[in-house]
Amino acid sequence: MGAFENSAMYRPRRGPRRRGGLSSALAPVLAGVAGGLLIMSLLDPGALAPARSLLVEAIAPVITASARAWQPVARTFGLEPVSPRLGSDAARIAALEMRLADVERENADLKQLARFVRATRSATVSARILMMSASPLAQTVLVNAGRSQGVKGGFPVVAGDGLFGRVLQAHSDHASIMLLSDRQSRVPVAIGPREARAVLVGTGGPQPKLEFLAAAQQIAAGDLVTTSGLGGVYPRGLAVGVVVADGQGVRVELTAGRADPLAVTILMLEAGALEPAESGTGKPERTQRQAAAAGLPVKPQSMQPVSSREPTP
Amino acid sequence: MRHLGADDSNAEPVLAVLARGWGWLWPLASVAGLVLFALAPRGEPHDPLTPAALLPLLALHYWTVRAGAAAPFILAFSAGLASDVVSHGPVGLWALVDVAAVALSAWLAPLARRGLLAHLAVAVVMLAAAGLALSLTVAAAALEAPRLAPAFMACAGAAFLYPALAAVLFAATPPASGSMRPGKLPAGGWP
Repeated sequence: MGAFENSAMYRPRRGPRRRGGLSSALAPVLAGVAGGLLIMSLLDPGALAPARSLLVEAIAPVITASARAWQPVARTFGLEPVSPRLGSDAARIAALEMRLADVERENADLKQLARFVRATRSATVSARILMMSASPLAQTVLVNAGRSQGVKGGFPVVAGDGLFGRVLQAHSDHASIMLLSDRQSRVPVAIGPREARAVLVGTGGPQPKLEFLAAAQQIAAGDLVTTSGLGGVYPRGLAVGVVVADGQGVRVELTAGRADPLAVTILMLEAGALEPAESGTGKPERTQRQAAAAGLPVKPQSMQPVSSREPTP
Repeated sequence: MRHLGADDSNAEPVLAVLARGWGWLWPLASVAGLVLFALAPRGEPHDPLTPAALLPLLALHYWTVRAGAAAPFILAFSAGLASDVVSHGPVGLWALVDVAAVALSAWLAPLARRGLLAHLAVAVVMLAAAGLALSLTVAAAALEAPRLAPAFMACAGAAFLYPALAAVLFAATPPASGSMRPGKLPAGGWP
């Protein structure tokens, strides 16, 4: 122990030590600059958006290279999030593909019968998660799809079995995605078989809470929560999670949160391009949730795709 | 063709130059690498405050105690700013916490140099202060009551990682003048 303590690790460095002058002046200056930026960023989050985008694009090669280098390391040491349900997911996807083929055939027959003319196809973009937020005030991820793939701010994002968030800012080849758990996230939702309306509000934790839930609305733990389509940002019927009750109110266990996703699917749907949700209280169709689970847009007749770009691997 | 080491009198300056270059690069590379590691996707995407998020802070603390000069402040500010920008969080949060933590480390550096236990104790104090600062800043920004438990859990996890991290940083610090003994900063020190 004594020899270790006398090693170079703890021995003061030889040579002139330039502490005091420059360092004592730098600390308050840099702290002041950081504090000023923090206040400016909190007062007007959009004020620094162009500078942020420029910085992300400037360090994009480093981010991409480090993400590529990280994959084998994470795989080797078991640090990469892997869904324990991958096996069952594969079987479920295979079943969904068969069902999809049936539905497509049926759809084609019905279109022919109704003389339906389809203008464009809906589109999605698959993207890999490169970075996750390290800020306690932001639950975001950075993915490797951006404006060059047609991604725009506001596009809904799904992962695993359900809604994951929405595109916060699209950079040139990357995009920042705000998760449902982010404090700024607000999603109009419908709950349970009666489609009780509420707003899912991010809390910064893994379980967002339900607000603006009318007292007369009856919901129970375990009820499915889906997007209501109100507000025009998210299409109606995307799976969000299930209701859980704790001492702090009614919360939602996110469906996408259980998967520890490595990849997400961005739905190319402009905010405001969706038709208003129906005001009925009918039971959400299971096919909608299945379509959402497979990363496909639901209620295709109500969507206005903005691009015909095919999903990119 | 001459080989390095064939003539020690000529090889030593070459090694010293290489060591000096690595001595400048290694602190920067280690902090930058740990910032990228902290942002790498792993585990729950909804829980950003993990021990891994505090690793850059620990490296900054190590270099502040070792080198104790102006550069750790610039490095702390840059690392925090990069983390804030990529995280898409409020710009300046990590930069402010990192600079404040490095200032505390610089103030306590003479105490940390007294021995292993003192070094670890100062690291724990710095982490606790950083966790408290982070919790209070987040609470003020989000207009909610401070949630100290998650921050201190992350700090406790990071404190357990610090000896291993410090050992790696120490072992990879280049020799000062061509000797192969690790752990010495280049002659003239880090800026």
